[in-house]
Amino acid sequence: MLISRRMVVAVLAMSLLAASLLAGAGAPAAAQQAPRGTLTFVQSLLPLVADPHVEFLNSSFHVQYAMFDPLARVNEEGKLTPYLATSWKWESPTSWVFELRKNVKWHDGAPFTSKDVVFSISRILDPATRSIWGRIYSFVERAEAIDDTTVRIRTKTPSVAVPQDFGRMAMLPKDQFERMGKDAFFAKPVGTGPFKFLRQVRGEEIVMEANPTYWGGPPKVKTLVFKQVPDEATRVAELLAGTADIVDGIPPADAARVNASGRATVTFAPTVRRILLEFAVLTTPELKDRRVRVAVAHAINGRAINLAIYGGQAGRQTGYLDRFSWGYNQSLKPYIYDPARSKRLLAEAGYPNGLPLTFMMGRGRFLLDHEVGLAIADFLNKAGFTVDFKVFEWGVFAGMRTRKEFKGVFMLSSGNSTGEPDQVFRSFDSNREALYVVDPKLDDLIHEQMGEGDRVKRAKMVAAVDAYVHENMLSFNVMTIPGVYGLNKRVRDFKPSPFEIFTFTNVSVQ
Amino acid sequence: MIAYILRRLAYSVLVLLGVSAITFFSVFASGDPISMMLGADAGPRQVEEFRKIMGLDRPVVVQYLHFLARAVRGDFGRSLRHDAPAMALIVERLPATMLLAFGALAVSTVVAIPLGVLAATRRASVLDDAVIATSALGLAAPTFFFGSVLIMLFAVKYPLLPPSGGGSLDRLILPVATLAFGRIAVLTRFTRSGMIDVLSRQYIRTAHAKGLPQPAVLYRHALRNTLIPIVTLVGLEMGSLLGGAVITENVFAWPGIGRLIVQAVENRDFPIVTSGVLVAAAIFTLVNLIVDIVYSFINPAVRYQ
Repeated sequence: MLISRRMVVAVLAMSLLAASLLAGAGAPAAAQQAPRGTLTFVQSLLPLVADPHVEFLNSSFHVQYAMFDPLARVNEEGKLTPYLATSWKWESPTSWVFELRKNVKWHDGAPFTSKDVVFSISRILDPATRSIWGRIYSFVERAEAIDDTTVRIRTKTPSVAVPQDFGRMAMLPKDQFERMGKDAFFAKPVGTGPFKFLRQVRGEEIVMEANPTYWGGPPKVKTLVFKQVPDEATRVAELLAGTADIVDGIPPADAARVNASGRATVTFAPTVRRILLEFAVLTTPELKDRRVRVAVAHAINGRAINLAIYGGQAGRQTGYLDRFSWGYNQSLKPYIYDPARSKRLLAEAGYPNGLPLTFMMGRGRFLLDHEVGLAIADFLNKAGFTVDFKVFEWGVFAGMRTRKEFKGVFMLSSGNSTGEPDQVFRSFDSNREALYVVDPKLDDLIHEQMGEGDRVKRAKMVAAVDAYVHENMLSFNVMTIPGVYGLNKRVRDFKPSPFEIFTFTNVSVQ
Repeated sequence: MIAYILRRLAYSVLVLLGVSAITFFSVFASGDPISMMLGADAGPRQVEEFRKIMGLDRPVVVQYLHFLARAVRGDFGRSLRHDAPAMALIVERLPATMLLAFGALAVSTVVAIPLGVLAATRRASVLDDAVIATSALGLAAPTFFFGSVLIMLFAVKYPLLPPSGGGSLDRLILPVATLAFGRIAVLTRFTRSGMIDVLSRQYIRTAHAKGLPQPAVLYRHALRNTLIPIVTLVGLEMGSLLGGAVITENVFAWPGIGRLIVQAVENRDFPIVTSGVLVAAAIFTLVNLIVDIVYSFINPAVRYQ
């Protein structure tokens, strides 16, 4: 690996910047009063496994973070917030040094130290853990303790994204884990988070109690209950009956009924979850022509879909990155709805009589996805395409993608739970996840921004990747899906996060 | 009788073997567990690496044989998603499903048989019409719809019961009522038509003619002769109860095996799917064996050798 002088300078600049940014950066706001009351959070699916190094569903992260802390993660405003690390610096292009928070205790009173961080990171990377995160973060080489409160994380390739991307992994206690063994530990897990594990009924509920000695100050509620209710109508009933305080995933069509009940309200909030139309360029010769891909983008009336399906609450079309991801390009012009232009572009590309196009989707992946798919198929049909619309059960769809069986255009939803752009860029990196679009120039752009430590310069490079994908129409970001939350009137200070990860430290119940 | 039971149990083993093979291969044929775990935007290298880590890189037939070899020793494998022994997860949730299914079976039997008898003895009366109309509704109403209506009525409009969840008897009432409703409809109609048929037989007229009181004629002579098809139906209904429990468990967030298996199917978590279907098939096979044995008690003419 060649390490240029520019890179070294950038590392130093980044270190200084990180140090200045983090000086004085404090813990999440501390609550003032003694914890009281019970908050019941209802969601469609609870974590299937308690191990935060194994579980991967987005809907599980806020449950994990109630018990376990990461080194750092983004807050609701998208700002990288120190948790178990108080500061970090890019020591060399392939190593980061993290200063750990002092005097933090595990729930059983044992001190948190660098050996726990080294243990956690080693465990994530160990194939025996069978963690998908170990594959995703395969660029992390190892962690080593410098002293009790300082840790070095080495990477195989230069990676500017370590604190914001990898830093979100939860830390586990080495001694307790090794003493108890995995199954016993996760039957009664011990973390450093704002809530302590109390009990769980698998597939039904997880109950936690406030950690009075939390390093960030005790949370406001005494008991926190996560309850699993898979059926949408029953989730609404839980809210109306007053047996749920916060419900994630209210059908937009029920918002008026809930608001009229006088017992609860429905809040729409923007999220990072984009609806993407992806192009199977490598398996569909017609899609190698940019004009055909742009014709697809101009064919779709995102505004109409938003109004009809999401009540106008979805986020507008951006470039490839959503507007909450760091460095997203604000200057990109949206592809406006113009079916006549689509037909013109198809004619220019050699298809004056229209083009047969396969459009594939996996059902049951995001809010009202089948309705969105039907609408998109209809708009494509009206703009010169003859669509063969294929809807699959999600498991079948996911398997087909991996086996490179996709043809034409396919619909996905993708979030970015850390706000770090590389989390989504890697799906275009042919060395990592790219399957249907391989573009050496794009590969280079992605790799270069990962090695740039100067934030101003990197922001420009990230914006350039965003622009490259958008202008070459390698993926069409139709819109971002809204989060729809039902709130009991007794709930105070619940802040929906665009990153789909909620924090309960400051939430209270009247 | 003992020889007959042992022979039936031996056949059951063959049935379970067939069920395990069909389930195992179907799960693999319909999707890839690794793609499900890594998500649709995972790279091919990640997928292959992780497939190896999870031990799923061997041919499916080899994996099935390994599964069988372990299963005969009581090890049904570790869930891919729950990272826990698959059979332990099934056993943990089985009591909840059994409570729901047998609760619904008990309620439907206790309600439907007297209703069917009453409707048959009062043909073309208001009661008969009401029974026919209600059972038509029970047959037509989908479980999720009826369940949601009950929740809106008894948990929201009149907050007498909790809307969902498990762990207490008051939470059992609405799901049992929902699951029993459709079964009551079937069983009532079956009892009614069986009783109408039997009541027209000559031996019933003889019983009346020799001066037996009406309850004795109805319950000792008529109903007893109607019971064999009813008991057969109750046995078969156990299958629909286990199947119907999936939807009921979903609507009421009842933590049973139905929801566990549906989630496992979605995730292609084959150790759980295969273990769960095996347990359900074993229960169904056992109940039907019991039904066959019960025949000989109801009708002394039935003998097994």
